[in-house]
Amino acid sequence: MIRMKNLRSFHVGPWGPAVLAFALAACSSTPTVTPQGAVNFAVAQLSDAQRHYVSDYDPQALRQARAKLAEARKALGGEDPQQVRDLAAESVLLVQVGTIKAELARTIANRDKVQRHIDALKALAGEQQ
Amino acid sequence: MRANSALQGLLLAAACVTAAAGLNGCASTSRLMGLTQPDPAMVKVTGQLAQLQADPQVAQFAPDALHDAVAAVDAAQHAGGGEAHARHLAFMAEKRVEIARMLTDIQVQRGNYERLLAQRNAMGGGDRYITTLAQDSVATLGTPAAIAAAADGSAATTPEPEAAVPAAPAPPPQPTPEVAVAVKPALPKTAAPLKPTAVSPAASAPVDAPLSADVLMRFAAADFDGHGHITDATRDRMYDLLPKFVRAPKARITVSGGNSAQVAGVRNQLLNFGVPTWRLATAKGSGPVAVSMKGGS
Repeated sequence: MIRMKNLRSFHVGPWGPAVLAFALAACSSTPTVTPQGAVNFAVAQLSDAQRHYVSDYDPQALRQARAKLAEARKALGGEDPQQVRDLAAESVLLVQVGTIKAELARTIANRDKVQRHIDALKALAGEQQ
Repeated sequence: MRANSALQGLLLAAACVTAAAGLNGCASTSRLMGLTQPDPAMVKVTGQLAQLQADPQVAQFAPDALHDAVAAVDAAQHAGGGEAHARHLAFMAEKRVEIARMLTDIQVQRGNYERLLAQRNAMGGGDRYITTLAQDSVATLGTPAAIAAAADGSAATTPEPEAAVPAAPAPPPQPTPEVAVAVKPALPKTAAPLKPTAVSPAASAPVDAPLSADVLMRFAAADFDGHGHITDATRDRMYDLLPKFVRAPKARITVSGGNSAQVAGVRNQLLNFGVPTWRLATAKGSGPVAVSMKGGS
């Protein structure tokens, strides 16, 4: 617990700014992706989604992902690289959501199909009796 | 003295970081909705995350996704770097939570699918028909050679001597779950011998010819093993025929084309599915084996 009285009596000294800079730099140790690299990755993920038939099951997610990617591309010309990275990351995540949703839909469809088979088997067994 | 100053600097830096974290903790609320109103989106996401954490299935089936969701929600709650970035983190948190829920649902539904699949295969004969039904079919329908002779219309003139014809070789028996034996429908003992009817047009078309209302399924050579038994994958496809049979309970089903062993293989599987014998017929054909259906529904 830092008391205000102690804060007031703080003497930063000559090393203060350097230590502060080091502490802040340590917080951002994650390697930064270039805005163009983030956009390229999002493009690749969108292309890959076609292989998983995402558009068949969750076209809305793909539309949103494409819209985010378009925004990211547009922001490439701006002055905020973080905005480009954020938009590209959102596009990638939307593709992931779509891919997983498609897989869930496929799994449920398969389950329902087998259930229909079982119902038919029971009905045919009833026909024999 | 200099060391003391450095220590003070370090303490100041720590204080700044702590204060920044504390302020950022309110960032998503203060920036978006004012200081007193929490962001409804974040409230919703936090509630959803709490539900995920309380669900043991999530921890079991999607632990990594749950970890990512927790980290994303935490990052959103302590967002810094401007309003746009805070919105971005809130968006990411919402999607991470959604992903964790869906991955769990996938695993749960896969479990349901596997359970139903085992039940279906037990009811439909599974793999056992190869050993049990093939032997039954030799007893009730005659040997493959006899069936072939019947299909050629020469059964009356050139009967196959039973002793000279070896029984249809059956693959080694495979272990099956007990439940499968318990629910397997018995092969109807009244199965009529194969009496091919007139040549079926359904069996003259190539394998890849389009199906119609009458022709429900065509079989390629790869759908059968060397003994004329259908493969597991083919049997899986054949299950799709059953709802059509049920929807037309008075329709007659014809197996035609191919060779006699293949026709017998398909017919046996249909019998094993529980299709009544009175609905089944066979017909000659020059093309691949086909299953067709005609008659009132």
